[in-house]
Amino acid sequence: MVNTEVDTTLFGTDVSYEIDGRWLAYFTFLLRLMVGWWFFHAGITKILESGVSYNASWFVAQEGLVLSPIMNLFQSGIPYGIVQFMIPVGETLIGLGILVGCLVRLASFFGAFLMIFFVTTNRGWGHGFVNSDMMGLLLFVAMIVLAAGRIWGIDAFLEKTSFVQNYPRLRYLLG
Amino acid sequence: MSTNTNTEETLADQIAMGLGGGLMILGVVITGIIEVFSGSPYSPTSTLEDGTIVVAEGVTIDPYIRAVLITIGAAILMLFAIYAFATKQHLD
Repeated sequence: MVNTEVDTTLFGTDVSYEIDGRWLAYFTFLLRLMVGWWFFHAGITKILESGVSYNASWFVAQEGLVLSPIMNLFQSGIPYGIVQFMIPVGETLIGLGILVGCLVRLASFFGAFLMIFFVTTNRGWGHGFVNSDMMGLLLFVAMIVLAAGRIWGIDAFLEKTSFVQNYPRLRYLLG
Repeated sequence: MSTNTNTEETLADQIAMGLGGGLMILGVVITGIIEVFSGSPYSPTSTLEDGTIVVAEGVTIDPYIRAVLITIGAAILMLFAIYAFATKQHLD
């Protein structure tokens, strides 16, 4: 028996449906652990294998891609050093944040941002456009929409603090 | 027990959903349907023996164009997230 009804509007039309709130919370939590581990594992293994100077030349040097005009700016010097550092460290922190449910929306935003680059760079479209990179992008958006950090996450605790209550905008970073 | 979205649907919501998600759906699903029904090849790229990724021969819609649509759609959604944060949209 479902126990939660969603009652809203979408493009001006009423949209109303029932959903099992318990299973929604449960699956959101499950998804959060999966997504968090996926990215934490991707980052921490890079750090363990090559420290914080990841060889990102394959990533930034390709030409003729959608985001090549932006990525090619980071091919050498300090910009390349930033990329070398931020890919492994960023992936680790994003994954860790999502795993423990802390600053989930902020972490997921940057996760989605990174995935846009991977989608357009890897071009693993041999079986269509919806590949693992695209799925990853959509999963990060799911983390944001579902406010996954609120279920047994640190964000659930943080959102109850008076600091966040006094600055409700912070809820866009938490959850 | 029920939920109720008690905030007004704003123009920003509609633009983000319609344009952002719409472009992604266009780039992935709609162009994908066109690609499948136009015959082989059914996937936009293929990988050569040396690992190089090339556009599949005979593809109907250039995958670069599809990727641009998806990227712009995703970028619009990300800009909406920043906008919502900056304007405290839908917060009481």
